Amino acid sequence: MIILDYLMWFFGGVIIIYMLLVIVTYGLMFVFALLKLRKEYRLDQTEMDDTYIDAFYSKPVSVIIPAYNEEVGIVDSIHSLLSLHYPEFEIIIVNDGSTDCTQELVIEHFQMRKIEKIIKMEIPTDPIIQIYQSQIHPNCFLVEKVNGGKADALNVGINVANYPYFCSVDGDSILESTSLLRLMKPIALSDGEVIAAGGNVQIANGMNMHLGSILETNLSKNYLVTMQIIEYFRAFLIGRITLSKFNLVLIISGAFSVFSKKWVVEAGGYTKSMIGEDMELVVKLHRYIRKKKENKRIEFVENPVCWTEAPETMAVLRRQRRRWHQGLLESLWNHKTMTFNPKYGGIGLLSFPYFWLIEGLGPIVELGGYIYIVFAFFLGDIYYEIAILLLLSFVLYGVVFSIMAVLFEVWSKNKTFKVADLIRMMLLSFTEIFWYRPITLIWRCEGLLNFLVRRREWGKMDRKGISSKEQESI
Amino acid sequence: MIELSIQLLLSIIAILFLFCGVAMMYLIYQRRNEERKKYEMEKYIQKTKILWQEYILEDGRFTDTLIPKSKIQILAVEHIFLSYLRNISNPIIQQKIYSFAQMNLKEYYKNELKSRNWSKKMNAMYRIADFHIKELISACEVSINYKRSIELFQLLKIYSILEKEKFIQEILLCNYSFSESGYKKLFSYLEVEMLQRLLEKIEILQQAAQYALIDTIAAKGSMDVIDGLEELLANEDTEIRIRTLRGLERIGVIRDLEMYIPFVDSTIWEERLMVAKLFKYAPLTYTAEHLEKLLQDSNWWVRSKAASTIIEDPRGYQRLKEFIATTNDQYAIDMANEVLEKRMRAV
Repeated sequence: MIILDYLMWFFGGVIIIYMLLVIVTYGLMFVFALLKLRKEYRLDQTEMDDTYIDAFYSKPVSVIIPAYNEEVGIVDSIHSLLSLHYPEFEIIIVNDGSTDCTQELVIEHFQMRKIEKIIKMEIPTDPIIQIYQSQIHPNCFLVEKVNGGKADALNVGINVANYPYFCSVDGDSILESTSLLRLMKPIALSDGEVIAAGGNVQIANGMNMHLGSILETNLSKNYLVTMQIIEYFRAFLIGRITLSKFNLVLIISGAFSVFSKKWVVEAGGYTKSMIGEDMELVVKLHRYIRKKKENKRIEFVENPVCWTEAPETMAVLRRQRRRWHQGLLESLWNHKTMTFNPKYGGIGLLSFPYFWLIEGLGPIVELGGYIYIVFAFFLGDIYYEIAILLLLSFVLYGVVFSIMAVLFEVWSKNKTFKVADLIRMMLLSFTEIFWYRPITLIWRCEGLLNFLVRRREWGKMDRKGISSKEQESI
Repeated sequence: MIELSIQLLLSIIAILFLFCGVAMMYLIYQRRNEERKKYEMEKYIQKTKILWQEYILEDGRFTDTLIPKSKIQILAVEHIFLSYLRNISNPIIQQKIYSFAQMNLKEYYKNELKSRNWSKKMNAMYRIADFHIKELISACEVSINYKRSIELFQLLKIYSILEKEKFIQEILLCNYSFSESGYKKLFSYLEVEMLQRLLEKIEILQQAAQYALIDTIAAKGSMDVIDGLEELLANEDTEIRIRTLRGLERIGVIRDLEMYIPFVDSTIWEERLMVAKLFKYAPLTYTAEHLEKLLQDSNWWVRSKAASTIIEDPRGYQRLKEFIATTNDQYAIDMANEVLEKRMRAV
């Protein structure tokens, strides 16, 4: 019994200290983000858009869409890209050996014709079969290649790209017309100091879209999707704004990011063997920056939005979360020598420990917390009080932060929202710790297990319209 | 201890929930308010649309009805004016808008400049630049924080639009460095003659400003600046030489081919690339020898540009065919073949 007491006290203490650490970290990040956005609240953003819409002030961008079996969303996605308000850009769709009608659809819709083009192979890739160019949109290209995975498709796109910056966009994502302009703003304003920027990915389920344009914004009726929307708000608005301010970002969404081609090529491009190829590239870039002793930055930009469809079923969401977590841990492990390494500045001393402790190993501790609460209630006595303390910290961490993130999002974006949707999201936030949080923790622990046993699992999403995002860590 | 912690956590959670509840109520109230404002703005725009059209587009008479009486009406007028200014480039229309703003919006922006809200102050400065309200320049000077680059930039932008002499003085003295695109924006409001004056003092400017000045001058496309640019070809700064070559290529004139020949053998590939581009403005008879050398360059981009330049000349097709037959450089042959094929497709 004494051993059990010791164990209960030990684990209770560890979990409570961990929870307090997480709450304080998130709290500080939240306050920082709040102060930053408050300053720019109601600033006329169109002023900047007007300035940089002229090619003379901006930099040309190659938009790369890696596509594997994206027949459902690819045409809408290309339409949304064609309607981008950006002075000079090209679209490169890389068909990574799709087995469905992705290629036929693109060729037919955009009147693609075969062209001969010599490609400078700056990053080694699997072979290209054929390159096509649209007859109606000469800035739109289709590259057919043998299947080699998303990272390889992106590397092919980088080799084909004609411009100094490239933007990776998933084959089922929809961009707002000003998104690229706003994502490129920190790059244009920094004269090359910012070498990569990631936009804000938000969930599009429930929205009314046509030919890549958003006609009406509605909140999805699916609770699982709504919960993910809240989760996205929390992750993008609270975490990344602060990390970005101090150049500590390790993850920018592969669904919508801009990179300097020169730096990516020098860093070796996307890594083929990794699940989380977008995070891996960002970490490699940080590593390379430090090696070269250059003053470069990687930023998260909260304004430009990329719309994407989230999983609507438990099974698909489970696969997605498992993969995300495995990808995160793989990247952290791959660059483990950077952890607590002063040579890498804030990335080594703050970002890596943060991602290891709070994002990577967090699910074990949190899940342990849930198990502890159940045990403690049975054991009664003092443990009953520890369990209440833990439960309250879960409420603070899960419920309060979620509600605040929702309110924060609505306020900062000054969005037109339906009051009923706001109330629905807030009420749903109350339920998070009882169902959504524990199940996602279990899935993330599964991802951790897969990482430990080196199990390879290539997730396949069920496409409905504008489809899911892989490789996005929340 | 644990009991105390529970009490503390409960209090924190209760306070935060209370805060969230109040914030939610505020957001709902704010939403209703926004909707009402939007509705009133649209109503005002609909009501005065014809009057504005007559006044601005059809030389109609000014009536007192057009003078905005409330903040919502001012915002509506702003919206109308910005639509005209961003979509129609007509000096008469612009002048009418500027005069109206000077007469009827000046006081509003003057008050906004005094606001403690940073966004309001910045928006007012944006509109002062948009509507050319020269009389508020001194108010802007008083209200800005000179340590904040975005505010200083906006003031310089106002100078470059409304007080050009002062802009020249300030930009030469300014210790703060903006981005190149920022400087380009500032310089774009200046006439060629003003830019030439700056070009004469280019060394005094910040480095990003120097590059932006060369780009802006070239973009204006005036033949008057060629002398000034050609002088920069001997500059020690590599980037300045590259920008100058690019600028001269943009203007599209080669006055003295000899001046550019040394760049064919430059150790900097960007210079070789630029000269390969520039040679399209000289007859192939004089440049073929150099372009063929560039076609065999170690850099892919230089080879590619040299091939494109050759094919653009009427005798280029034949020249490339001959080149393929005589060279052993497989990279150069591939590049020549690519442009030849492109030409065939275009035909």
